[in-house]
Amino acid sequence: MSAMKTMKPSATTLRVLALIVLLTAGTLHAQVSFDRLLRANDEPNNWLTYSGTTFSQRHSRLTQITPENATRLEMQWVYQVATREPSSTKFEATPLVADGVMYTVQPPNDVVALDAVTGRVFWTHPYTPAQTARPCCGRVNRGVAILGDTLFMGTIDGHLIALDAKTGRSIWDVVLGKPEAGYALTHAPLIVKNMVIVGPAGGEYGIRGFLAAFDVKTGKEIWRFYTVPGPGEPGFNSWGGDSWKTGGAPIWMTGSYDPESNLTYWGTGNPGPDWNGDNREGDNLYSDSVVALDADTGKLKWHFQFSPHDEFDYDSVQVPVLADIAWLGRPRKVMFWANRNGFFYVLDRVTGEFLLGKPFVEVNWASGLDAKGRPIRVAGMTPQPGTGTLISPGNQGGTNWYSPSFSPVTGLFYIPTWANYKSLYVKQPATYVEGRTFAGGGPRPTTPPGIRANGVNFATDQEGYGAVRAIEPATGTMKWEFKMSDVTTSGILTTASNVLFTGGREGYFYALDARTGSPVWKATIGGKTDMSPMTYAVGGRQYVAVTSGSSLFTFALRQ
Amino acid sequence: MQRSHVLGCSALLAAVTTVIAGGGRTVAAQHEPTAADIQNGQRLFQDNCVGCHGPEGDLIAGVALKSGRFRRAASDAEVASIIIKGIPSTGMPPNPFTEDQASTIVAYLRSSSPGAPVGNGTTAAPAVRSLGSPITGNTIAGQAIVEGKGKCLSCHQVNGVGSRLGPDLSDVGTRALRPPASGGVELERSLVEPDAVVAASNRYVRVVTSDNKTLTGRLLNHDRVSVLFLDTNERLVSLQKASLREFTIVEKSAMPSYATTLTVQERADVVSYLATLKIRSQPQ
Repeated sequence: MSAMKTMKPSATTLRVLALIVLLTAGTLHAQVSFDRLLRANDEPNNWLTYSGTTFSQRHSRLTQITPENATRLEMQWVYQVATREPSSTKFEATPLVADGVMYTVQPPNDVVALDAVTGRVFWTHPYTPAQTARPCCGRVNRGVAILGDTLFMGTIDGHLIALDAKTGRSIWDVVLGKPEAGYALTHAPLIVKNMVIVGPAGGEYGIRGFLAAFDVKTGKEIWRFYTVPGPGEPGFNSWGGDSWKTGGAPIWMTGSYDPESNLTYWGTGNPGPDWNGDNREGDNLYSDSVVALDADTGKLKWHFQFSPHDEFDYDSVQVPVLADIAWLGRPRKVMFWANRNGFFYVLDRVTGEFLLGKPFVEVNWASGLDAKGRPIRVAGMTPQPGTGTLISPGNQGGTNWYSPSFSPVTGLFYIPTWANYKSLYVKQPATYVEGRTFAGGGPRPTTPPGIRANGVNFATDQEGYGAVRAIEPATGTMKWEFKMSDVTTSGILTTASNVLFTGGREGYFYALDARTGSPVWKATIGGKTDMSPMTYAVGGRQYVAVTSGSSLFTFALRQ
Repeated sequence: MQRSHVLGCSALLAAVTTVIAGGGRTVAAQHEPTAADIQNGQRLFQDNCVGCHGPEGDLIAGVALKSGRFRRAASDAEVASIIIKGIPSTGMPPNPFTEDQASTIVAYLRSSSPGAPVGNGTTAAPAVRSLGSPITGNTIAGQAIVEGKGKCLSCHQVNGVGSRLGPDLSDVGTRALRPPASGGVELERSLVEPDAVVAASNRYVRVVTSDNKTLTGRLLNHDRVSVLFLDTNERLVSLQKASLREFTIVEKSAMPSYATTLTVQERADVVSYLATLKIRSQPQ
């Protein structure tokens, strides 16, 4: 080898070598480079990030399936969770597909590589979380990230692990926080350049939230941004007393990235304790916000807080949807956001400027938004001890974590919606003890017990229903609505051929005409969908994938 | 908070330092719970469970820990086991309690239930609410009214006799001990004001078909596409909503009020009889 170091290759040799490299890269498709992630729109056969692209529109340029031929969709294969933990029934991961291989996570944290055409398993990486893991709301995972030949997954016991995408073998494993204190990773990581970015859930345990970037090769931490500022930092004074120490503002959904500004955008969760704000006087920055960070340093460029001093558990973790559109007659780089608090927002994603905000469901805790987008609170609309206060939207929000979609073709923004939904918000005392629930009360339903359970629904529309609502971003007005009877926990996928895919809690998987909301096809998949669908193609055939219950289903046009 | 619906009782940490006397054995299994056991259980409950279940144990819909009845457990040992092991597929996580500790929590919950011993250890009277009526009912006369004049069995069943359309009354006497928030019934009130509390599972549905037939029955399920119900002829019916002219979920009770059709004494008789119905008998 030492001799080679001194050898000077001729120009001809270099040209030949370069040609070999190019040809090899062209045939193997082995490496998922960061450049490929940035240009994922241009290779719609693959689904390379949680939301499809770093702009997170959950929109595909695949056009084989259309509203006209969708009736020919039929099931291709099913993967049934072979988890060692039968109690885990929420299969929340959006799969990735890279060059014919699908990567997903069966709950809680087993990574599985499948043949995307047949569903046969290449390998499984079993991961047993520590007994001390205490994710608040289910032992779930929403997917992996890929870069090069490496997969990345956060675990419910607070680890970030890197795996060999060819074998499933472990490469590195770092710990972000103590699981016994409530630190849990549930979202799919985001890749930016040579970094993998994640943050912990734990907003019900009084964690101090943060985002951190790790070197993809070594797992070494590169930067960390606390979503609850410490003493001396801007925003620190938005927390009364020592409340910042247990302020929450967790991370539990994947962020977005704009290469032009080199900003990465993330939504943050609720302040702690959730339903009792008495001891955290102030706005509680940066809870319930979108933060725009310099991707290289983790420094805050701007923030926008949707729900200052939240007392309703209105996590703002929704995926930031980025788009370049015409706004008031000129091109503008914007961000769309349908928030759990019931408002739909349009922000300038370069500056954070508030451009538009309008309720997309009934809202009674705020009478509207002021000129800067700050909610105008309604007096008395705050959680109370005892019987509580009736608030719209209810505790699960007008929407929640399941992804919306933006179609550049129709220009519409599609929201998985809980309509007519309300809760009684009850305030109770909260004392912080590490690892114990630090919630300060909770929601009471306004409907009779058992009204929606185990696939049985007795509810009326007045008691709440699920819907896909299509919003015109320029005005925030609803263009159409697709109603279900039960509420929905399914995200939305759109394609350039004007097909919208979504599931729900009723056990159906729907294809709608994205222009009108008319259903064009449905399949019975038997359980509730707790994820956001995706699409890919192999061998010239487009597939669409969705989970229901503890199974992953794929569909394609009948041949 | 990420997830829908319920949170589990927060897990106990090693930081819990409450010492329970007599370690190594199950309190309930070894002796009747003492006042100290109940006090310890109360402390553990307040420290670890109220965050999700609330101080009255009823913050989670359909779960009333102080009702004296548990959906998933019959015995105290089973309740203690659930506290320790959690409930899969729900927000109720495992908790690192000792059996003793879990047993004291059960003892505390039992001590707070309506049928719990009070004062000198006598059992409290069954909480059959009678809207303040001082009249004592006659159970035999009540049974005759239920099976005769009241025509109750035209909609209800008692131990296999009667109709399936309404709620089965075979064990209504036990449900009468539970607070309404956890599915209990107030018998007298239900007779007089049947619309006051209607369980979701007792709703009716009314549909008009494309050929103008009106059908009613007990709603069993519905979604965007279809509606399932037990019709008045006790047939299981599934209809496509798209084929219907009308579809209405009837939130009011299908039962008539007995405020005027039965006397105060007759209602007291009926309530007394229903309160005796506690065990669903097996078919012979």
